[in-house]
Amino acid sequence: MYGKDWLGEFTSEFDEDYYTDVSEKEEFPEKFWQSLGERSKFGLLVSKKNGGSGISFTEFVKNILDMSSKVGTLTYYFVAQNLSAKLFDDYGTQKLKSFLPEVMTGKSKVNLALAEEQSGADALSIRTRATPAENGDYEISGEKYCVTNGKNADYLMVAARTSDSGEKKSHGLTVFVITRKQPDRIKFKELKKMGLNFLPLYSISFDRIIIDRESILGEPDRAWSMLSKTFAADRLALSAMFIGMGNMALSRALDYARKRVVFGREIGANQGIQFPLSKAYVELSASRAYLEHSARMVDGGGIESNRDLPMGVYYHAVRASSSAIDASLQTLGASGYLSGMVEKLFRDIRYYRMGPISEQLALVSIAEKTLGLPGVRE
Amino acid sequence: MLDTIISYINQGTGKFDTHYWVEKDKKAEFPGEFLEVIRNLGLTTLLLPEEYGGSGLSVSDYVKIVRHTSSLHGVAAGDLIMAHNVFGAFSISSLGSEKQKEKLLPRIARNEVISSIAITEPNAGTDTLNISTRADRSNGEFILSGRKIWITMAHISDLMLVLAKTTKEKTRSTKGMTLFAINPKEHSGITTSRIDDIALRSLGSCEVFFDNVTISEDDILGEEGEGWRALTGILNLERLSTASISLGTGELVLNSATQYAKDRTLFGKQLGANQSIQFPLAHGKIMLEASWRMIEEAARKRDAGEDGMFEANAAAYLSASSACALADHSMQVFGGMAFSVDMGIELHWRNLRLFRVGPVPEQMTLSLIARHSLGLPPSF
Repeated sequence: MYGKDWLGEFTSEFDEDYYTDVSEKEEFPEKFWQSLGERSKFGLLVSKKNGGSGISFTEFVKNILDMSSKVGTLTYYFVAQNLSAKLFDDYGTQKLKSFLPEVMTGKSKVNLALAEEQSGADALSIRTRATPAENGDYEISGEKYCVTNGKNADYLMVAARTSDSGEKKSHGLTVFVITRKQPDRIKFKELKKMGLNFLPLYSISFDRIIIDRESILGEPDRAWSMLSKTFAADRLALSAMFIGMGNMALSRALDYARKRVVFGREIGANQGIQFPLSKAYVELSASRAYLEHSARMVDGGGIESNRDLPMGVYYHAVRASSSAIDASLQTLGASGYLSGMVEKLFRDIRYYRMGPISEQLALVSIAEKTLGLPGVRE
Repeated sequence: MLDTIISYINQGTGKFDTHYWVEKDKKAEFPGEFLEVIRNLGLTTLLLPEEYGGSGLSVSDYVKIVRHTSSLHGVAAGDLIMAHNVFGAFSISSLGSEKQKEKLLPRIARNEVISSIAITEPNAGTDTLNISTRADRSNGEFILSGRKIWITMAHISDLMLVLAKTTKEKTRSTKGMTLFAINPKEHSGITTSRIDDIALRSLGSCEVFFDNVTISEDDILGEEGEGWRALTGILNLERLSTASISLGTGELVLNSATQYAKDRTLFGKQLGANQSIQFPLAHGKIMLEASWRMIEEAARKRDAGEDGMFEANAAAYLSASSACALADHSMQVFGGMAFSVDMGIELHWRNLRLFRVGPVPEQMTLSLIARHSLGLPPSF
């Protein structure tokens, strides 16, 4: 609480008011982004030999917990850019690795374009295609849906189908890194939504874009295994953010419950108010313990054989956070319903119960893979 | 070492099947055969320091064994391990005088003692400061009078920790209460009466009457007037134990229900292929995982000598509520079969329900956390 924050400073101008302000104005949090970039805070997971900080995943998660309890969902940008940088570090060609300095300092923004309107959660059914040309280049056409920050991205990691003949359905996907140098062949359409107002969402169409082989991230046709590993890290990182968001709302509600007097006593003296807050704190604390255990497993290499662990953590954290934010809103009453921090967190967290992984798919995964129950899908 | 103990538990206790526990529960009969086996495996002296002939296990390892044994045999088995280790081995070795240690620890090491703790009273359930059992000084001795309730295994206990008021002042302070360690079999004036209840029927829960029982100054455990402080460490370990018993038994019902959901076919497909059946099981699994990490954190803090009050209470609360929800869903998965006592499902459903009420009701835990961890004003 009283130590240095994620910027390495004792106090920071980036707090709940900043989060509320940029969300209200529907702005990209430019100053926040720059502050992180100036300190190379987007290269935390990049290896030292490639100029990054090379911190452990456990340490990364601590940064997220701290940051998200102050700026809430803005932490998404920090998570996404760090994980993108790590992908370039782990899987990038010489060409892609040469982008690392600009990525780690935030001079260039990277985003992933995977989902498509018809594919939804079934990522393997995407239709965007890349066909090889005679000179070894690829030509990509297709449409992507719900791409976060799409138009602001300098590099888009686009997943496309490159073959159908693989023996497994998960074979045949390749990720290409597209720069925005072909503007007339890329079209963006902004999508309006109910929350996450600091984070624009786009549908994007690609019309015969030419990409060289040096821009392939990872092994051609084998992108799924690379992406699955990143998704595991992404789920844990986002879980940390949910816990921070829950704690952020909860501390506002606690403060209010201690001071606000109705019927001659503090509202926090009522069990109807205090028990849901206690319960929220207990559940957020359990989420954190569960998350930290999983982060240690990532660092120890044990996560490979426990791919369902991040699913469980994600499910637990998003629910604990949602309940904490909801109980906080109830505590604040009408004052929480007015435009402000808590109602924004309330609308933001709702998204994460559906994506990047829905609660239902998380449960299916635990039911089928961990408990060995029969599947209902094909 | 832990792996070795666990494999011994698997080998040594395999013969105590569902039928055994169901029969013991039906007849309200003590599981003496099981106790004999776990005594020989050393499970009753896990927290007894090595110098006294125990295993001297860390709390972090102890909770793993409680969890594992409960996941095979349920609440009664876990409770037996807790009573021996927490109210016997731990309490005497950490709080006992040299004289008490000399007298009791060899007997505990030789497994001659069944331990119990007597705090709760008919008029002072959770409100411990309001107890009316008294121990008054008289000619260098104490005269103990009063009545306790819900004392597990009191009727067969050789070592009972009894909390009594030792001050004459009418006070609600934590001072003035003293903890005594007595052997009820060595005193006249102590009678027990079994309560016909719905949980832990094989172990038995009792009312205990103390009618002018003469006890000695040497029976004080810890310091006179400091019973509350003495209890803190014991009750914290009790929370961690009940958390691990709940968790282990939660795993037991999860495993049974999952297996049944795979084996049972309805409308031409496996019962477990229905999301309405599998989602609550998957949800329960996740809740148990998170609860276990909380237990581990509380145990780590305790081993490190840090204050883990919040963690232990949170762990007990979460484990009990998660395991109860799973047991309830298991009743749903087994359908009509769950209502057959011989299936052994309702046994766990009944037993697990206990931990949402005792040793501390959920409401008290939430209230404690609200006040002490979140700084909210008192609600009563």
